[in-house]
Formats: sequence, C-alpha cells, structure tokens
Amino acid sequence: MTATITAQSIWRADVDDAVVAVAAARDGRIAVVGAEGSLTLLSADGEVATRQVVSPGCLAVSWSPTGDRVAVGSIDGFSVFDTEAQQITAHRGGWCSALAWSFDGARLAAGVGRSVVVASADGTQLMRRDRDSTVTGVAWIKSRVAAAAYGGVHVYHVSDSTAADILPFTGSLLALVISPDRRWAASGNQDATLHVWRVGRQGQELEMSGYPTKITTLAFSPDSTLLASGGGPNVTVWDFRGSGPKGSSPRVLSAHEKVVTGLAWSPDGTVLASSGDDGLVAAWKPSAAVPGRPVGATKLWTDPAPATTVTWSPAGAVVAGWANGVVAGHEVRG
Amino acid sequence: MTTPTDERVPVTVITGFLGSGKTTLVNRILTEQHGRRIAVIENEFGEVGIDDALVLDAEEEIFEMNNGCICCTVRGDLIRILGALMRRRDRFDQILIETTGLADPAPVAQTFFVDDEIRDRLRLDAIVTMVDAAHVLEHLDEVKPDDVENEAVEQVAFADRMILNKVDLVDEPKLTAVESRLRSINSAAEIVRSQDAKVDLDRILDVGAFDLQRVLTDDPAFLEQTDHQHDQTVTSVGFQIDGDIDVDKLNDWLGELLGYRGVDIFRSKGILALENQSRQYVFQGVHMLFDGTEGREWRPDEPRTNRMVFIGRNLDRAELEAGFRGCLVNS
Repeated sequence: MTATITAQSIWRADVDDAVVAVAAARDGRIAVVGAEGSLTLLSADGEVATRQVVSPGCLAVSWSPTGDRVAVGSIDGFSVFDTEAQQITAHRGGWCSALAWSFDGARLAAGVGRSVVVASADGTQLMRRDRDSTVTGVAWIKSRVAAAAYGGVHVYHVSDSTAADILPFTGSLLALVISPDRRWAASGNQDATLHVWRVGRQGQELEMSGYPTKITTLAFSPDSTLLASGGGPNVTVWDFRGSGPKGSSPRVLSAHEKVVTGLAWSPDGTVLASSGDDGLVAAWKPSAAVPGRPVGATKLWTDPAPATTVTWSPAGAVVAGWANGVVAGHEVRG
Repeated sequence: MTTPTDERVPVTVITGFLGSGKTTLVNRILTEQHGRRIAVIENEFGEVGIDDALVLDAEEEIFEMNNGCICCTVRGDLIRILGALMRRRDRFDQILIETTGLADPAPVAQTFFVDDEIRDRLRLDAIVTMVDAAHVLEHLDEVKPDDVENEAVEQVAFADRMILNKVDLVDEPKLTAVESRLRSINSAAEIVRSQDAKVDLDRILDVGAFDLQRVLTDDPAFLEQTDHQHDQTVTSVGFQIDGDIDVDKLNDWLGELLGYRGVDIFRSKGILALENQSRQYVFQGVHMLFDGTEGREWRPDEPRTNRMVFIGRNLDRAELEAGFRGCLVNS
C-alpha cells in the first residue's frame, strides 16, 4: 500500500469570525460557526451563501443526515436552521458544545447545560434528562442516546424512563465517541487519559494514558477498526480490532508542533485529516503506518492562525477552518 | 510584578461576601474610562451592557482532578468559558472573574495551574477580596462545624489585595481593629480602603499578583511575627533570606512540603534568586499546586534576597525557614 496522498486546493473563503466548527452536508454545502456567534453557509464550491450572528458564541455545528437541517450549539443553548439559514427552533438554557443527529435525521440530541435534550427536527422536545454536571458529549447508540459528563457516560432510551446504563469514569470527560459498529464507547478526558468501555459489557474497560495534555478530539474510522485521538501535538491512533488496543502500541502521526484541535476520517476510511493550533492541516494514511513508529504527513495547508477544526465533505474534500476566519477546501486523493 | 516577557492575559478574581460590594466594584470597572478591553465572567448576569466589555455567565461547577484529592479541585465551568473566550479574535486586556459570596477561592485559583490551555495563555494576576468593614469581623468569627471551612477566612487568606469597603460606615478605631485582624490572617496582601467600591483601578488590575518586595520591606513586623503554632488559626509566615537557590533542592523541598502540608497551606508565594539566573524567579502556589515564571532582572547593586510567604493553618515558622535554608546552594 502506498502512503502517497495528493492534495489540491479547490476553494478558500473568509467568514469574518474565528472558526470554531465546520460541518458538511450530504450535498457538499458547508456550515461554519464562529467564536463570536456567526453561522455561515457556504455552497459546495466555497461561495458564501448566507451569514448571520446567531448567538453570543458558537461551539458546535452539525448537519442532519437528510441535509435539510443544521443545528448550532452555543454558549447559551442550541438552535436549528433550515437550508436557507432560517431559524426553526431555539432551545436556551446553557452550554451546548455537543450535538448529534440520529442516523435517520429525525432526532437531534444535544447537551444543554447539565441536561441532555432530544428534540425532533422541528424542535419538539422528546426527552430531557439531567446530570450533575455539564454534558460535554452526546452520541447515538442505535436509538439510544449516550451523554458524557463528569463521572461517566449515561445511556438513555428516548421513549421511556427506564434507568440509564452507566459507563462509569471518575473524572471530567471532554469528548465522546461511539464506534460505528457500536461495540465501543470512548472518552477523551481532562486528566489526559483516553477511557474506553465495551458497550453492553459492564466492567470491560480500558484506559490509555501517556498523553501530554487533555484530550478534546476523537474520531473512529468508518469501519470501527481505528480510533484517532488528540491530546497534545501528536495524533495517536489505537487499533480496535479483536479485543481492543490494550497493551498495544498506537500508530503516531507527528506532524503538528502544537496541540491537535480536530480529527476527521475520509468517507472511505483511508485518509485521516488533522488540524492543529500551529495552523497546519495534515493528512495521512494510518493503515500504512507502523505501530510505535511516528510518521510524518502530507501537509495540506498552513496558515498563521491556529487551525481549529477539520471535516470531510461526502465528495472527498477536506474542509478546515482557522481562527482568523479562513475556511478552505482541498480535494484529497489517497 | 509583571514579567516583561509574559504576554499572557491577566485575570483578576474578585471574591467577597454577599453585600461586600463585589458587583459595585465590577460595574465600576466596566463603566470607568480606563482604556482596557475587559471580559467579565460572573455567576449572575449583571444589568450592565458596555460596548468594550463582554459579560459571560458562569454556573459554578467544581470537580476533582486527581481522584478525590480536595487540593486539586478546579472549576470546570471556567475551563470551558475561558477556553471559548480565548478562541475569539478580539483580544482582551483583562479578564475579571466574579465569584459568589460563599465561593471557596481555591478551585478558582487552581484552575490556572492544572489546565495547559489556560496556563499557556492566561495569568492569574491577583485575587482581590472585597471586605465589608462593618460586618467582616462577624463573618471571620463565625464558628463553623469542624469539617466546614469559614469562607470569609478563606477569602481573606487567598487574597493578593483586600479592599476594605464601606469605610464610611465605621469609625477609625474599628477600621484599625479590622485591618489588624485581616493582617493577622494574611499579612502579604495590601489593604486598600474604599467607600462605594471607589478604588484606583491600577491598584487592583494587572498588578502582577503580589508585590512581595513591598510587603516585606514596608512591614518588617511581618517577618518577626509571633507564631501561632499548632492551632487552627489561619496565619501568614514570611521570611527573606540572602543567597542563591538550588532549583533541584527547591523542587524537592516544595514538592514534599506541599505534598504533605498542602491541605493546610492555602497559598505560597516567593520571589527567588535561582543559581545562575540573572532574572528573578516568581513563584506561586495554591495548596499542593505550584508554578513559577521569570520576573525582572536583578539589578547590579541589588542583593540577591529571596522572599517567601506562606499563608495557612498550623504554620511552623522554624520548620519552614529551616526547610527553605536547606535549598540554598551553599547549605
């Protein structure tokens, strides 16, 4: 297998706000949210379609899988917009950095302050459960909702009030992922550890440490075999085949000089893109790397400002955002 | 003192009991023409909306970092909000954090030691404690159950500056008595008298945490203060000792001291002369956590005098001073 990656810049836009998060719709359109509260919708080729200030400060953005809704999380709650950026619903009440649409796009899960809320696509609240501290991650496990907060992950049924399944961890969770095959849940934590649970197998837990700083970004490969994690300037990728990564050496991407801020797998799972505080957006092929031996990466773009987020469009373009308002698309072939 | 190379944004924490005048002070800082661009994090949304200021709401959320160690409690809400603030393009000259009246200052201060993102970009400049001249003695004297801290004592102990507010409501003998009591707890913090929270902002904003030099020079009594050994009273111990410090010995000693005495030692501060360093080393600790940065250059004609202060319970001056002397290069 060759590790060669070719990349070509296809567009560049300025959203006039420090980019916090980007999301790509099924049809290639891009939603960008900024630290000063803006929501910008871009066409698939990077033209600004609409731009407006929607909150005092945005934290997260997510397109529904159906492509007709975009959800924005902010420091005071979340809002849902249609494709023309018209607001459909708003839910105020606290910090919202975690958003997740159900696989059919019919439901949106959000952490709002110390609660996890599930709403329908038109904004009707379907569920609300309270935790003792701020919900920092949400994810779907089939039709159930997993919510991370200090003390662990609670997994709820939306339609009934049965007790939550609890994936315990004594510490502050900052990021949550569920593997696409739903075997694994993993959290990135303030105490610079990665905690892993086998979903549905109580007590089967792993803890990976050795990170220099807190872990704020995690991404599972589409085939659920590899989990990429930030937590310092390296990208650390654990192999989840078989019984998981316990005792194994991770693959390490050593391309960034500062903290990794975002990670995203290509839709086909061959290429991993990363963004970093050093302004670099990089791409590499983890499957071609050797565990335990750090490798470099193809550098896609460097900007003087920190690169804050990265994602892939369904068509195979890497879309990244920077703190100086730049959003750029690259066509990447692995 | 401000480190010349330190470009981190200074953060001022304002504590004080309900009714002491915290909100008045914050509003005064926001409305006064001082040319600084300020972000305020407060527990209740204030009424004040100011062009040059950003006011953010926080809901106190305390958590433990290291599996239940009370010395390593931090404010999760502040980590998030300060992180979001630092992602904005507008640069603030100053960040203010207003705590609730009953807040323990330790988790707020410790937040600046344990989170790398915050430590790299922000500097805990000073903890400013508002004191109500008419009522503070009652609060300080309030007897609490054994396992409950007296928040008023903690807020005074943690202060880098104390604003003795409402001086118009009490007479001079009472003021002197209050100041004397405040100094018995924390002799390292300057006391600024005020009415209606009218304070020269240069004395509380971007002051460089603590000016030990001033305290230890102007108040020599502090250095000879009688000890309150083996009682639960919160006091301060300060000393100044000439000579160069061996960094390894210092780290060993502080690590051990704060490891086993960290619960009782609320704050530790120092300006130190490290061996082979032309700049001062400015040290500060909160319970078990400590950190240091380079300060200004030692002047050629200036004796290389180390100045150290501890504030806490059960402080043993002889033990602390002997331990510190053991860190000298030629000890």
